[in-house]
Amino acid sequence: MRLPAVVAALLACASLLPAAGNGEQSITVYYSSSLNGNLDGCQCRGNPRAGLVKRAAWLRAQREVERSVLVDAGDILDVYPDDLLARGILESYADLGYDAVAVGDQEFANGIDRLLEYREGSPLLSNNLALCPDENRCVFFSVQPLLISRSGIRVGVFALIDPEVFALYPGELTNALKISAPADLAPVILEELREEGAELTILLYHGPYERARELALQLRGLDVLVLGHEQRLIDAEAAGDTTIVSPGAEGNRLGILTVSLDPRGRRRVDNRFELFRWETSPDDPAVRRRIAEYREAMRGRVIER
Amino acid sequence: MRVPPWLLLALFVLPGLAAGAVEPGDKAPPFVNPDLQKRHVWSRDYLARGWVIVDFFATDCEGCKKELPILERLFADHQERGLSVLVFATDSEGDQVVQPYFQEHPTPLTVLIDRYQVAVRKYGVSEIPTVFLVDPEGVIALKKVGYSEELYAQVSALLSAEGMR
Repeated sequence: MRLPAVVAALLACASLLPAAGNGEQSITVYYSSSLNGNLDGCQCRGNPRAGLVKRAAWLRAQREVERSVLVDAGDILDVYPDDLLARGILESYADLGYDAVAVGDQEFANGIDRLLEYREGSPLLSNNLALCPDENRCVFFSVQPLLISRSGIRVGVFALIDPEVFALYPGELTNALKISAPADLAPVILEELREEGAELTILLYHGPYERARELALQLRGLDVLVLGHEQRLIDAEAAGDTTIVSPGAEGNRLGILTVSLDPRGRRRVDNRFELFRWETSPDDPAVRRRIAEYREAMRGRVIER
Repeated sequence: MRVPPWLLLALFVLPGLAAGAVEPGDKAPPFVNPDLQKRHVWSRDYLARGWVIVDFFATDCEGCKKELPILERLFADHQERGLSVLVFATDSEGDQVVQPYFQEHPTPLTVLIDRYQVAVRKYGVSEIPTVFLVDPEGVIALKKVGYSEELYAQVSALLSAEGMR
């Protein structure tokens, strides 16, 4: 017997939902931060770096897209200006299907105009940042937070950058930035996301740990805070309603946080890290190709000089 | 089977982006914001009651400040026939900077504080200045992004063509 198309479609959708013996739903949040421009890694003594090339291979092989969210808390670019490298990294993030990447201070390394160009077609997100490229206009970096549906769960994601991360930056840059205080904006955006039906909320916070923790303790109903900028490892620390996580430095780890929600909205979390090694973890062919193209272009530039 | 990326995008991301930028032909979103006297101003008192200009502004945006006299001129020319002009001040410092600015530069326009950028998100405003002209049915008739010296002529032409119902 042939099933009517509508029934077949409904069955197909139902097969995407997690097995829910007790009505519990779960979703995995894959999170990274502080790649620091390491598209490739290095076996550097004292500071080994796996690079995006290793993480990408793991994500492509292991990630169940329809049951997960993939986010980054920022500083994916190098601190030094390198437009070609920046484009290679951003293209790789988009290609990997990152849902949201918070703008960190290092994303400004190539200037404001370039950052506005990078925004197009990339998952970069910042909900409290406006850039004023000239005196006549200011551009809101991201107008809306992200609201996506995975595993039958509606997930709200928003990103905030702390003005303190620009403390040592020159006025030439900071005068062209408008940053709303995270503590002012976070509760408002959180409420809007809940009103829009978000069952799980994730804040990508780029700033100092102490201020992130203080904010998490003030907020009601924030489920997950992924911390960037600090380059420190935080393994599922509770702060009020919120679980704070951070995957450490140099992009060597990918955080894997499984969040289970029961029918009464109660949340259970399980966090672990996947550690990549430059010597032993496999390469992602697409990122490796980009690295080769980058090196070829750089070689050309050196010869031109 | 490898699922094409466009299908995943359509299934899982696009529904969340439905609340995008407001464009001509769309209904103007509702709002409630405090004015300079800290009174709450409701959209129901303006939208679908006559022509309304909705302007997104900030005190440190030169283009926004240059556009204010144009809006004031439009208001002076058309207020008797029911035009309202609402200026949403998006400064994140709110009253602290908006009050002193308009004390120093008084305006006949209705200034609303949008320090948490709630109206910015509702209207999907990507940059300031941005001006919307809303018709008496509450539908966006015109959207202008960025400072433009042609704003007066464009809005006037539209209002005249419609006979300022």
